[in-house]
Amino acid sequence: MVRCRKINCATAQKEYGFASTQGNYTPPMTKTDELEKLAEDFLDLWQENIRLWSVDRELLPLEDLLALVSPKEDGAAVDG
Amino acid sequence: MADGFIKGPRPLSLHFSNSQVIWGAAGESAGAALEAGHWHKDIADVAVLLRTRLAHSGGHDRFDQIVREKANARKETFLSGINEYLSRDYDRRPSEAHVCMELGGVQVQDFGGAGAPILMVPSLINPHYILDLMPGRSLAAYLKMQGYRPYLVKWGEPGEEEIHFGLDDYICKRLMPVLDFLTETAGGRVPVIGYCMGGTLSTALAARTSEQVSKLALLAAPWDFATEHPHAGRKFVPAMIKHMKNVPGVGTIGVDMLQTFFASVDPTLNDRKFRSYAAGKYQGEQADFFSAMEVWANNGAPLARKVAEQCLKGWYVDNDTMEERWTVAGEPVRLADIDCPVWIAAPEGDRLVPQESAFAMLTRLKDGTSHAPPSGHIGMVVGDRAEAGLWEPLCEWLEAK
Repeated sequence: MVRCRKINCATAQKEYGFASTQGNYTPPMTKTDELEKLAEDFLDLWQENIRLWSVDRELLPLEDLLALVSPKEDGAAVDG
Repeated sequence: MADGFIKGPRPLSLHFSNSQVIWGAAGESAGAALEAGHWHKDIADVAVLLRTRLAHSGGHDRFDQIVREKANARKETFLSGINEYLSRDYDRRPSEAHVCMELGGVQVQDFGGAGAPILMVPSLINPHYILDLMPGRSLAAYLKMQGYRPYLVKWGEPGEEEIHFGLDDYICKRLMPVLDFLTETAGGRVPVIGYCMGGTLSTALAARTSEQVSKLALLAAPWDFATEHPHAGRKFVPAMIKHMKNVPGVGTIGVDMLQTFFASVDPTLNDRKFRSYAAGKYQGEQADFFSAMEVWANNGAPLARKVAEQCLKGWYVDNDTMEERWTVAGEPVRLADIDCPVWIAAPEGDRLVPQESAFAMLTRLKDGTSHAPPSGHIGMVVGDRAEAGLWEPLCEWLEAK
């Protein structure tokens, strides 16, 4: 027996990229939505990173803060 | 506005700079930061995950642009939060108390009632009224409700005499006469409560006047300045000493210098606080509490130079307290000289006074008890959990034989 799966507009758009002409549904995440979410997550992590370093180093005055958020010169990978 | 008129945060320029640096740098090249940022070990794996998500999204340039926009929005929200806070009316509502004693620039506030006198000694840094912050958040008012008559020391601005004071002068020429007055009023020994630096001063007071102190309660009072646990103040000491060399004569150490230290303990704190404020997180009593805390934290009298030098060099650098080299009234302060029971409350997560620093006294006291409130350095005294976490256990201990 072949089982039929019910596909609603949202599923269709998510899985097949169909555009919906119906109004009442929750749109799936678009690429822009994903990037927006990723950006928020990044900024939260960015701030938490500074907070954690301030605990580790006991104190994070402005000059140390500047050094922390400046790009690494050697281009090393993400580290601890 | 009584007892403080700067709403803060201060120094405002430093908080603006922190915000600019944090969000400005985040928006410069977020994708590159994910590839090669200075990620802390606790979140390095999350950074790797974000990097993977970004790789799958395939939109590095667009991602950088969105991050830049959102980082700028966070800066704006931070400024909005400060503006909203500054435009909100605030008046401190202290408990009813009258000044019963004045010694130079120092006053003693009597909260009245028929109860047994109890002396409360706050820190010399930040205003005295953290022990009577606002209705519902006042240890002094709570003690009065429990049948005590609190007397709170208000250090005030260093006057003509105090500007030349060292720590021992504050103890011998201010606290000792206050204690004399209270023991005379009570007709015997009285309990003493000291908060933060006020606890360290009270420890010396109790060592010198054991016959006058019935019990000593210390709330987040530093003693060992060489703990392994991070001790934020210790790292700031070189900058403070350098700053003091530029202060002429007997000049005092200004509040902004001290606030710079507090801001450096966590440069993200004010951004998080004021963005939450802008988002409407604080309403009703919580908004009043927010204002009360900000005004309290951003005010306070400057420190007399000699006091600052003794704290920085004698306490933080040389650890004179723990080494029993700190002299008051010509004698080293020895914990073994304290005859009364001592209760030491210190929260585990305190970054200003590590729990380890406060509890270090326990090994040398004749009769010491420890307590770990479930809050931070300030929250333990005035926070939402202060009554259950500190005030009630304190009164139970005071009542115990």
